[in-house]
Amino acid sequence: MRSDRLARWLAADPGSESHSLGPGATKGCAWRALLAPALAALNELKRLGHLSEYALGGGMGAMRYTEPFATFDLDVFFIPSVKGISAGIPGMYGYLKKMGHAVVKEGILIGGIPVQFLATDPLTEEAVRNAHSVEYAGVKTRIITAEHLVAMAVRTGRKKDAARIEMLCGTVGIDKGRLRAILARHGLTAAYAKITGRKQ
Amino acid sequence: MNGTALRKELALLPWERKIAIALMLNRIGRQLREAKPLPVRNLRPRAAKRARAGGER
Repeated sequence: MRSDRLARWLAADPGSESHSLGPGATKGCAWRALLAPALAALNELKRLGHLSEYALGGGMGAMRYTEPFATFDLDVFFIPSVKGISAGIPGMYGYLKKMGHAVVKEGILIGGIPVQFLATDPLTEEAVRNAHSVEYAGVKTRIITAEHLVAMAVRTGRKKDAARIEMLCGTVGIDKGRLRAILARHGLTAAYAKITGRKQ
Repeated sequence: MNGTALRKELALLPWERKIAIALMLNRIGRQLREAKPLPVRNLRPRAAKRARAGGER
């Protein structure tokens, strides 16, 4: 498929009659609100005090800034409301299971989307505290900034993280000064230079 | 439109749309992984020989 045709295909409404995936492609779900049940559940967890703050990261968070790519779960970074090794996860899972959501592998399935909860460390806590507030299909949520997503990808350092760094740096107007400060604060400057092959 | 221009254009789509595309890509990927390979007898003789020998050379 030529790239301009591909662009038109991707930009078309996937649930429409004219879309080549067919009118049944998004049957049973409003494609504009696929994440809405998961985000509403996260807001409810915050309201009930199971977590003190959260923000979306990982692939779905990065996609706020980049072109779309295949990604399987919704990574939720949260600041626990209780101290301790469990980080309040049993309480959150207990509530979500009571609401009828199923536990799958290392996450929980909310509205068909596997959601993974990750308790924060110093870098991700800073990322959550500085996250943007956005709206998705009328549901309020928070997304980690592109600069913090880059720093988190540098720290994880897998091949797909290197690709994500390239994507974030290539398509978004990254604030280089801010990124440099974050990397320096968390001792990631050398790792960034190594993973990207460029000096800051 | 080249690849870079396409990427930039896609990056400008609304987030909701990009999430929907990502989930479609997941589904297409799963379908491709689960798809059965064509039986060798449906291929032309040379391709069938290659397939029996273990695929493309």
